[in-house]
Amino acid sequence: MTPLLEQFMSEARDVLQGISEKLMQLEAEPNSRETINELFRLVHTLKGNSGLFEFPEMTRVLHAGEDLMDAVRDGRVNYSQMLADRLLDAMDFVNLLLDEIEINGEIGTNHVQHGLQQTELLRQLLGTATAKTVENSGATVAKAVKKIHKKLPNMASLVALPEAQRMALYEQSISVNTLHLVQYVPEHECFFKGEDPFFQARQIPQTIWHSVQAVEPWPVMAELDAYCCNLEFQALTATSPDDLYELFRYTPEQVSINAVPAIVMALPSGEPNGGPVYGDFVVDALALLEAGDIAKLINVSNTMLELHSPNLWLSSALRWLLLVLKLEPNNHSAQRILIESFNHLVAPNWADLTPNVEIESLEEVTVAATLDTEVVTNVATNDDSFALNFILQAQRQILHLPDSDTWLVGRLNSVAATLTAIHINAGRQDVLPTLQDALAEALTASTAAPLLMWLDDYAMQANTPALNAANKVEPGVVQGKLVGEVLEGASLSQNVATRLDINQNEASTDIDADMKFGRRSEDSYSAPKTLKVDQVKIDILMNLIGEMVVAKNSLPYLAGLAETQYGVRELGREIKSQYAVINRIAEEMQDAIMQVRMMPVSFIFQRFPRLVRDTSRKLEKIVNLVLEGEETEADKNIVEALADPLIHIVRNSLDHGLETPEVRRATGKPEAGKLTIRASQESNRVYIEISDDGKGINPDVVKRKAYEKGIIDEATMERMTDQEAVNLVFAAGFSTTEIISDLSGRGVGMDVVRSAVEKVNGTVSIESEVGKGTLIRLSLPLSMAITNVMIVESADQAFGVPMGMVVETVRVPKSNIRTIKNHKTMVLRGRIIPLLSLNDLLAVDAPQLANENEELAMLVVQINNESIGILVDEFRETVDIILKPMTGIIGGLGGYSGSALLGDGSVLMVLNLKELF
Amino acid sequence: MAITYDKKLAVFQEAISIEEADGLMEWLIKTPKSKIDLTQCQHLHAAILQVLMAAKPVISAWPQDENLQAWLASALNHNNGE
Repeated sequence: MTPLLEQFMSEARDVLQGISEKLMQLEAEPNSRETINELFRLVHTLKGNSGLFEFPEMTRVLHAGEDLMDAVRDGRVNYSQMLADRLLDAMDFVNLLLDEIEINGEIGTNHVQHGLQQTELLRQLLGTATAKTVENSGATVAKAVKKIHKKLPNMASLVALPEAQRMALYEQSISVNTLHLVQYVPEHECFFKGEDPFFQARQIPQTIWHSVQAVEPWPVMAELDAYCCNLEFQALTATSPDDLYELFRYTPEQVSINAVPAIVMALPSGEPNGGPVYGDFVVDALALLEAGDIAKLINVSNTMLELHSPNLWLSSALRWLLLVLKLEPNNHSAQRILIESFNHLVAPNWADLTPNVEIESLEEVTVAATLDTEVVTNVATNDDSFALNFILQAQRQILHLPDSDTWLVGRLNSVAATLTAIHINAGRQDVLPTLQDALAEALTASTAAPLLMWLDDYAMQANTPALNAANKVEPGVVQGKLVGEVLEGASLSQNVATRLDINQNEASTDIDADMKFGRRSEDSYSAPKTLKVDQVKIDILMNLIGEMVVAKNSLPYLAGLAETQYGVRELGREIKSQYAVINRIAEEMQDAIMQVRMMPVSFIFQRFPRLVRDTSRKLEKIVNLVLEGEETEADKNIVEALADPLIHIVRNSLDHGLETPEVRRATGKPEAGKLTIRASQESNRVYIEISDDGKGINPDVVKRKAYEKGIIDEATMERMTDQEAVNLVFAAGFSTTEIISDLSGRGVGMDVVRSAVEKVNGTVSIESEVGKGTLIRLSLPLSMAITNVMIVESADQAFGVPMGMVVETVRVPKSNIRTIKNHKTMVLRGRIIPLLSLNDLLAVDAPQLANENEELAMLVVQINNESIGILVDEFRETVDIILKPMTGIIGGLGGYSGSALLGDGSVLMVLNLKELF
Repeated sequence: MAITYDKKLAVFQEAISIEEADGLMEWLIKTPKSKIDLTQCQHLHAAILQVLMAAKPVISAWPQDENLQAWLASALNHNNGE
C-alpha cells in the first residue's frame, strides 16, 4: 500500500465517521443549513479523494451521494428519513470497500452490482422521488437495472458454429450455467470520453456469438452524426460473470449480463432433403412425449437417426433431441419445440420461448418483494434449504443435551424461539400452534422430549417445500415444479430460478436490510490501524517511563546495600540479576515510546516546494529544489523545532545564495540554481544539510562588516581564518538587516537559527566556498528525551555534563599547569588548552581537590569548536537520564540545562557549559 | 494513413482511429457503390464501425483477424450480397 493510499484510507474512515455523525445531527434538526453544507462538503471531499485511485465503484456511489447532497443543499430535494437511510447504506458500502482495499489492496468485481444498486437508490431520490417509487423501490430497481434489454435476441446465426462445438457447450452449461449474454449499450457521448465501445466489446473473452446493432435506425448518410454512439453490442460468452464485471467496471450501468439457458445452442442444421415429410414421426413423438414414455421416444429417435444420412437437417435435429432428452429429461417444452420443428425444418427460435420466461419472472419478483412470504418460500434456493437443515440439526443437538441442567428452561425457550423464527421466515406459520403446545408441555415436564418429538414429526412431513428441496439432488427439477406452473420446461426454469435469485436480491435490498452485502454495518466494524492520540497522553507515558528508569536504577544501589550493609551477598546477586531483566524491559519500553513519538521529516519538507516556487518567482530566479531522505525520522519535538530554522535557511539561500539567471550565465553556471535539502540519520543523530550552488560567502566581506559592527576587533580580524570568518554569520548582532541586505553574503537571522537548533541540543555548521556555493549542516539528536551525561564531582556536589560535549577525561599533574596572564593553561599532546576550574565557574569558594598523586581531574570539552579543560574534583560514571527543564524560580537560573533524578533518589543538576563561560 | 482511398475502394490497414471518421464519411457520401477492403485491418473504432453500418458499403474483403471478422460479420453482413 502506498503512503498516499494509506493516508486516504485513514482519512476516508474519518470522513465516513463524520458523515454518519452529520446525518445523525440532521435527523435531530433536519433544516440546519450548516449541517447540510458540512455534509455536502464531507461527501464531496471523499469523492474527490477516491478519484485519485482506481476505485470506480466507490467513486460512482460517492458521486451519486454528492449529487444528492447538492440537491438537498439547493433545496431541490428535501431531507427525509429515507434519504438518511440510503446515504448511510451507501456509506456502509464505501466502508466495506475500504475494508476490502485494506485486506486485498483493491476492490473485487463482486461489488460492481452492489455499487450500481447503491448509486441507483441514491439517484432515485434525486429524480422523481415520489411516494410510489419509494414504496416499490425494490421492484423498480430490479427493473431499472434490467431495463436495457428484457428480451433475448434472436441468435439464429449461432448455427454458423459447428454442431459438435455447440453440443459441447450445451453439455457444459447444463451442469454449470456458463453461458452469459452480454448486452452493452454505450452512452451516446462515450466517444467524447475517449472510449471505444467496439474495442471494449471485443475484449469480451470466449465469445460464441456476436451482434452489433443500431439502437435507433440509421439516418441518411448526410445526417449521420458519427460522433454520437448509436450502437448496441451483444455477445454470448462462456466466460464467468466476474470477468465480465471486471471488464465493464467503469461502465456497469451500460451493461447487462444475464445467464442464458443452454438450450439456445440447440439449433439443428443440415440439408433439408426435399422438405418436411416427417409428419408421422412428429405425431408419434409428441404422443410419446405426452405419455411420458421417454424410453420409447429415444428408441424411435435412434431408429430414425440410423435410417437417415447424418448430413440431413433431420439427423441434426434428432441428435439434438436425443441430447436434450438425455441431459434435460424434464424440459418437455424444449423437447416439444424441437420435435415440432421437424414439421417445417426451421431451427426453433429459442428467443421466442425465453422472453415469456423473463417477463413472468419479473412479475414474480414484484410480488415477492411486496408480499414476501409465500413466494419467497417457493423460490427458496438450495442454499436456504441447506441452512435450514443445518439449523434444525443444531436444535436437535441442543435438545439432546441432558435435561438435568439448571438452565433447561432457557434452553427450551431459545430452541422454540429459533424454530418459530425459521418457520415464519419459511412461510409456515401453520405449524406454529403445535410448536407452542410442544413447548408448553416440555416446560411443565422439565424435559426436552416433547420438543424433540415435535421436531421429528416435523421432519417427517416430506411435503414441506423447503425441506423437500433440500432432500432432492437436482435443483433444476425441484425449482421447476415450484415456479413451473408458468412454464412446462423444467430445465428452463433452472435458469429462471437463478435469474429470479438475482432479481430478488436486487428487489429486496430495501425490504431486507440484513441481506445487504452479506453483513450489517455494525458487524463490519473494522478496527482502524492507526490511532490518533493526544500528545499529552504520550508525554505522560514518557514521564512514567522516565520514573521507571529512575526507579530501576535504584536496584543496583539496593544490591550494594544488601551486600555491604546487611552482608547478604546472595541477595545482592539476586537483586542484580533481577535488575538485568527489568533493565532490559525498561529499555525496550523506552524505545517503543520513542518510536511512537517519531515522525518523518517530510512533515516539514513538504512545505518547501511551494515556498521555493513562490520565493524564486518573486525574486525572478530559477531554482530546482531537490529533497532527499524525507523518510528520515526524528522525535516530534525535534522535527517541529526544525521547521522555523529550516525555512529561514532556505529563504536565505534563495535570497542571498543563488544568483539571478543572468549572473549565473555570466559566470558559466546553468541558469537554474540547485537547492538541495537532504536528511539522513547516523547512529542517534539526524543530519540535515541545505546546500546551494550559489555564490557562497565571501569571508573578507563578512570580516569587514563584523569589524565595522564592532563584533570583532582589528587584531581578531587580522588573524581570523576564512572558516572562522564564515562562522561569524552566526554571531548575535551580526544579523541586523539593514547592514546585511546590501551584503553579498548571507546572515539574516542566522543567530536565531543557531539558538533554535541549540535549544534542542543540536549544532549547526556552515561551509562555504566563494563562487561555488554554501552548505549548512544541522545536526540534531534523534530524541530529546534521554540524555547521556557524565557525572562529575566538585565541592562535594555531583553535576552532570552532557556526553556530547565531553571529548576526554585526563588526570593532570598539578606541576603541568602553567599560568599565562592569570589564566591557567596546560599543554596536552602539543596543544595549548585553557583550563577553568568548575568551582570558579560556579562561584564556589573552594580549591579543586587533587588525588593522592597530586593530580587534578580534567574534563576536556568541546565548545564552539574549541577545546577547553575543566578542572573538577572527581569523575564518576555516565548515566542515561531524563532531563527535566527547570521551572519556577530556578527556571531563570543560568548555567544549568535542567535536572534529573538519580537511581538513589538524589537530584543531579546538569550543567549547560556554554552558558557558564 | 490507416485508410487508403482508391477510386471505388477504401483499403483499411491496421487500427483505424476515430480521426478517420469524417474523411470516411465524406468519401462514402461522394462515392456511391464503394467497396471496403478490410484484409489488413486489426481494429476499427466504434465510430468508424457505425459509419460503415449506416453507409452499408460492400465489403470486398473481410479482415484476417478472426475475432474482428466475427464481430464485423454480425454488424455488416447484410451488405455481403446475402
